[in-house]
Amino acid sequence: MWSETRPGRSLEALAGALFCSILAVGSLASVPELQLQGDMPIELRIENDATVVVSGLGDDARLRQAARFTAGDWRDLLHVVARDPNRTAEGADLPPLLGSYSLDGSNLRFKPRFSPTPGLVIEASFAIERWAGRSDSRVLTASYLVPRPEVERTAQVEAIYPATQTVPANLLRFYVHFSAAMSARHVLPQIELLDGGGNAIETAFVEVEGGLWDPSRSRLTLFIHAGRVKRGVGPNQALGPVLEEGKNYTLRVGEQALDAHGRHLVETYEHRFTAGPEDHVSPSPVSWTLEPPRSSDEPLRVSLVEPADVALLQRMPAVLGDAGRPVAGRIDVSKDGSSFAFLPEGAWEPGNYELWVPAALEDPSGNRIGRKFEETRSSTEVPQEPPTVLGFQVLLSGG
Amino acid sequence: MTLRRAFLCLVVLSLAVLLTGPVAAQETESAPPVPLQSLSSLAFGPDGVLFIGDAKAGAVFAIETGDVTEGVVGERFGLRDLETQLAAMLGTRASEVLIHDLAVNPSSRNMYLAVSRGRAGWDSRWELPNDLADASILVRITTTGELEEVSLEGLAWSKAVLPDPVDAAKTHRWKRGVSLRTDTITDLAYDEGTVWVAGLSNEEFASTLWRVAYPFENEGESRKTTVEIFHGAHGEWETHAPIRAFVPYELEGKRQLLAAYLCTPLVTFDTANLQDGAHVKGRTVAEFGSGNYPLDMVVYQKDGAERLLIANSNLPMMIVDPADIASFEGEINTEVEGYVAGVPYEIRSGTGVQQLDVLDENRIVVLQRLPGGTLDLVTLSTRRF
Repeated sequence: MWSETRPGRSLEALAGALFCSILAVGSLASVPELQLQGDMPIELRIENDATVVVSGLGDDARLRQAARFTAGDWRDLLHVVARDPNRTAEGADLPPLLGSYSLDGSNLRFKPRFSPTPGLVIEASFAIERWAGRSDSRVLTASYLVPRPEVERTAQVEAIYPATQTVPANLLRFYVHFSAAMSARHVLPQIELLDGGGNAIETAFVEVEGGLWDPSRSRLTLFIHAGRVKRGVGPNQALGPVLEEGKNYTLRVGEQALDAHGRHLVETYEHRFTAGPEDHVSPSPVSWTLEPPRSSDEPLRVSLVEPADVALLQRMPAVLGDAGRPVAGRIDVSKDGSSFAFLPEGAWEPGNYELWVPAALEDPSGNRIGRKFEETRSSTEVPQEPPTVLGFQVLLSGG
Repeated sequence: MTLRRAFLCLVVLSLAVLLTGPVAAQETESAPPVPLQSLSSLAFGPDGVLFIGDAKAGAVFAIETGDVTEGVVGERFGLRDLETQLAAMLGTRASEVLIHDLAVNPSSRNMYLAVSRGRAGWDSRWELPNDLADASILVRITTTGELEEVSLEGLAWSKAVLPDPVDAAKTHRWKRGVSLRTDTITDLAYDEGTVWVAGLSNEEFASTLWRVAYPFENEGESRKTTVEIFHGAHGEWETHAPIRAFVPYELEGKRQLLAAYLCTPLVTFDTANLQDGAHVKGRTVAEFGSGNYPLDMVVYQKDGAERLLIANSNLPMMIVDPADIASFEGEINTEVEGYVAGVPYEIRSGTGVQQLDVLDENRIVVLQRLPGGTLDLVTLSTRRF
C-alpha cells in the first residue's frame, strides 16, 4: 500500500492512529478531542482493493441512528473520489466515486462499484465532526495510489518467415508469428527493418491500418512495399529497392509491441538475413519431387525446386483420393518453404491419389505459377489458371 | 468501380423495412428491477418519462423517472472535460469512458447520459460506442452542473418488446467482430404518443423502423410497412445499413420522419403512409457526402418555425430548413456526381459534435470533442444560428 501526505496539513492528536494510510486533520484551530467514546479513535484507511474503511465509530446512539442513513447521507459523511493524477490536479472538484456503503459493527465500509484502474489516486475524506454531531468542518483524509499489478509478459515472437539466412532481394513478404494474440494496432509501429549499419529503412513495409493479421491475430504479414520491389515503377525509381543483393539486414520486433491484453513482449526479437539474387522465376510444381508414404502412418513428402511462400504452402495444396474426394490432413512446411509433408487425419489406404496445387501459389517474391510478379496485367485479364495436378500412388507393403 | 467506391457502397443502405406495431408487452409494475441489458439510446417523453432503447434485449423501456421539477440552466452553462468527471465516478481514466447517448428531460432540464466503462477495443474509426460496449450506467447532469448516477430502483417502468430484432449471432460485414445486435436500436424518438425506433431486424431488408404507441398498454393490431430509399451518392438501392439518426418533424402540415444514413443520404418518410403491409418509398431529398456518420439530429424552433440540426462524424454541423425540403421537387433517384446533392444546408461552425439535444427554448446542448482532446458539454444559443 502506498500513501501520501497532503502538503499544508499536519497530523494532530490522532497521529497514533495512522495505519498505512494518512490521517490528517483539516483545521488546526483548537482541536478538542476526537475520541467520541471509549478509547478507540476513529480511523480512516484505504485497503488494497480500494475499499475505504472508517473504523472506531463506537458511539452506539449514533450508530443506531446511522442504521437509517441513505447512500446520500453516507456520501455527505464519507466522500470518496478517484483522481487521475495525470489529468486532474489535487483537490479538483470531482463527482464521487460510485460504490456502496455498508455499516458493519462500528466500521463503515465503502466499496467501489468497479475495481479502480491502476495509477489512479483514491482520495477519501470523512467528516468526523459532522459524524459527532458538531459543526466543526474538520475531516479525516486518506489517499491511496492504486498500484499497477506486476504484469507477467508472456507473448513473444516465435518465428519469422522466410526463416532462411538468405532471401531473394525482391522478397515480397515476411510473416511474423507470435506465441499469443496481439493488439492489432500496437505492433506494426514497433517493427523496423534495419540495414547493415543498424539504420532503419524508411517506408519498407506497406502500412495498413490495423495491420494484416490472421483471424487469431497471432500472425502478422509484412508486405515489403511492392512499389519499391517492382522494377521501373515510381517508388522503385525514387526510393530504390528495399533490399539490395549482397547486403545484410535485421528485421526487429521491439518488446514495446503489445499483446491483446496490453502487455509488452517478453523480449525484442531480431531476425538477421542477407539479400541474395532476385527471383524472377515462377514456382513449377511439375518439377516437384513426391515421396509417397510407405506405411499407412507416414506422410507424403514433397520437395520443391525453389522455396514457396510458407503461409500459402501451408494452406493451398490439397490431396484428393478416390473419386476426387479430398483427404483431410495437416501440412507441415519446412522452415525455408522448400519442402512440406502431408499427413492425413486417418491412415492412408492403398490406391491412387492426386496432389492439387492451385495456380495462386506464390514464391516468397510474389511470382505465381504461370505469372511472374513483374508481369503487368490487370486482374481482369488474368486467365483462370488451372491447378497443377500431380498423381501419386500409395502402396503399402505389409503395413 | 474504384476500391473506395466499392467500400462506400458496402457501408450504405437503401431499403428499409418498416415494421410497425403492436409490440407492447405490458409489464408495468413499480417494484421489480428494470431488466435492462444495454442503454443503447435515450429519449424523453412528457412527464419525465425516459425511453431507453435496449439493443441487446431488443426492447424499449419506459421509465417514470419522477424527475419533473423544472430547473433553470444558467446563462453560460457548460462543463469542461466531461470524460474526466465521469472517469472519476467510474474509477478509471478519461480515455476509458464512452458516452453512448445524451437526452435532456424537458420536464426538468436535467441532462441524462448513457455511459460505459472501457474502450480499449476501439480500433476502427467506423466503430461507434455501441459497437464496443454495452452502456450500463445512467448519469444525470443537473441544471446546476452536478453529476450523479440515476438509480432506477423502485421506479415504475414498462417495456415494449421489438419483434424480430436482428439475430445476435450475425456480425457486421466490415466491422471486425462487431455483432449486428448493437444496431438493433440505432436511434429512437417520442412523438405525439408514438415511440419510433430505428434499427435492424431479421428481415431480408434489414433496415427497420418500429412504431410503438405509448403508454405501452394496447396490444393493437399488427402493422408492417417496408420502405425503400435510394442512395444517390452510390447510385444504388441498398438494403442493409440502418438509419443512423432521425427526428420526427412537420413537413407541409404532415408528421414526417427525417432520417440520415451513413455516407449521408437524407430521407423523409411521411408517417401517414407507414401503414400495415404497405410498401413505402422514402423520399431521398439530399446527399451530404461520403465518409461520414450522421451522429445525431434535433429539431429546434427558430422564428416560430422548425429547423433541423445534424451533427456529423466528419463534417461540420448542418442546419436544414424544412421549407427547403418542402420546395425541393421530386427526389434523388439517379446517381449523384460528387456525392453531394439535394436540399441546401447551412453550416453551423463547430466540428467534433457527437451528441445533441434541445436544452430549452433558445439553446441546444452538445457534447463536443475540442481540439485539445477533451469532450466538453457546451450550450449553443439558437438565436445566434
